[in-house]
Amino acid sequence: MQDGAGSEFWQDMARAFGGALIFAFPLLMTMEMWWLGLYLARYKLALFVIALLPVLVGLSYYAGFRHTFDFKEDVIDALVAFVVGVAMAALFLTLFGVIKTGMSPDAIVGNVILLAAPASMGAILASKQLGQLQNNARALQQARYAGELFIMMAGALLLAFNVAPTEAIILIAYKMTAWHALALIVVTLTVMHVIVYTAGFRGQRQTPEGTTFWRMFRHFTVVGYAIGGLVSLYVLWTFEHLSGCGLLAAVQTVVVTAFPAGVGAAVSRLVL
Amino acid sequence: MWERLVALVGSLLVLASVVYLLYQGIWGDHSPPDIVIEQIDVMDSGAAHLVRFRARNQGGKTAAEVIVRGVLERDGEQIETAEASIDYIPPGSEQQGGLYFSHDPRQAQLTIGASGYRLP
Repeated sequence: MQDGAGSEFWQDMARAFGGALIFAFPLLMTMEMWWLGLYLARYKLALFVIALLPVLVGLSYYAGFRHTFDFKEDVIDALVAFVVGVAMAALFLTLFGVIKTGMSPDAIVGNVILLAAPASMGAILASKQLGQLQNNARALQQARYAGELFIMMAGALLLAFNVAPTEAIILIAYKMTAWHALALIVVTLTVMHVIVYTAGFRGQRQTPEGTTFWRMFRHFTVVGYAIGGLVSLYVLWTFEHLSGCGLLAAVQTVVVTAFPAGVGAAVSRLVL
Repeated sequence: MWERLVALVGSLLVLASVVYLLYQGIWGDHSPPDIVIEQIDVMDSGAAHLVRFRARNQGGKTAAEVIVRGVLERDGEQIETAEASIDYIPPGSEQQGGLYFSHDPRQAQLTIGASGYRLP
């Protein structure tokens, strides 16, 4: 935080706070999130935060709220984003009367930490989403395949996180038959490929010579979908939606969550 | 090189899901829910007695709002009933719950069973 005047720091903070708010809005007002904060196994919560920090560092590298040049600054920005996320979650959960006196510290911490995750991702992405064009365009343009995979993973995580806590996800999965799930896979892949293919030729990223429809499909659409599925699996497991669940029900729940997650993965290459 | 490997692994994951769902769609079990209740244990819980149970769906469809009913009988006479409801039990899945009785189930005849469900 040594570059620039003090006012620039506060501008960055305000922007990060705004980003946190926008990304956490749906979850801030989802009651399942409050319950999950209470009963979620603490090791799953801890694991989630540990997994989140490298994602924040990576996002800071590709699209941070400040210009960053080295790894150390990316780590600092990631931690600042996490603090902003925690502060925002604590403020609004208190404002909504979800957190109140008489609650155990454990319950309060669980509630705040859980919401801090999407909020801190929002905080990191703030500059880009709020129209500031000072992001690391060069880092993005140079993003090689591993970078692309990371960006897709982050997009999938953000979208999966937004729907996975709700009971609606399980209910949809249980209403579906195996045929519905199959159709949803086809639809998801189609939507994703339209996005991937459009993104590939918008000049945002150089498409290698001889890039064909099917090569794009295999290397980005299908891989993006697999990433979306794995991220969904992890998030659903974290939110206890798979406990005691039979294989068919589990696969269908993952397919349902992989719809937003997969589209998130595809879109993130466009948006980020 | 490893780019192709990732693409291959991704394709395999997606393909495996598709094949599995196809298999379930064609040859899978489409019978109605079949809820089997298994008693886990009985323990004292304050003034009451807690009977914990496991509800398993051996049918092919998801059961919603499953009502589990326990009946206590002594000398052929019903002395107490207790009910619990479980939100969802998908096929091949199990959920746990508990029933509270004021009489000690260990000194009576206890039968637990599912008394109803609806499709989600």
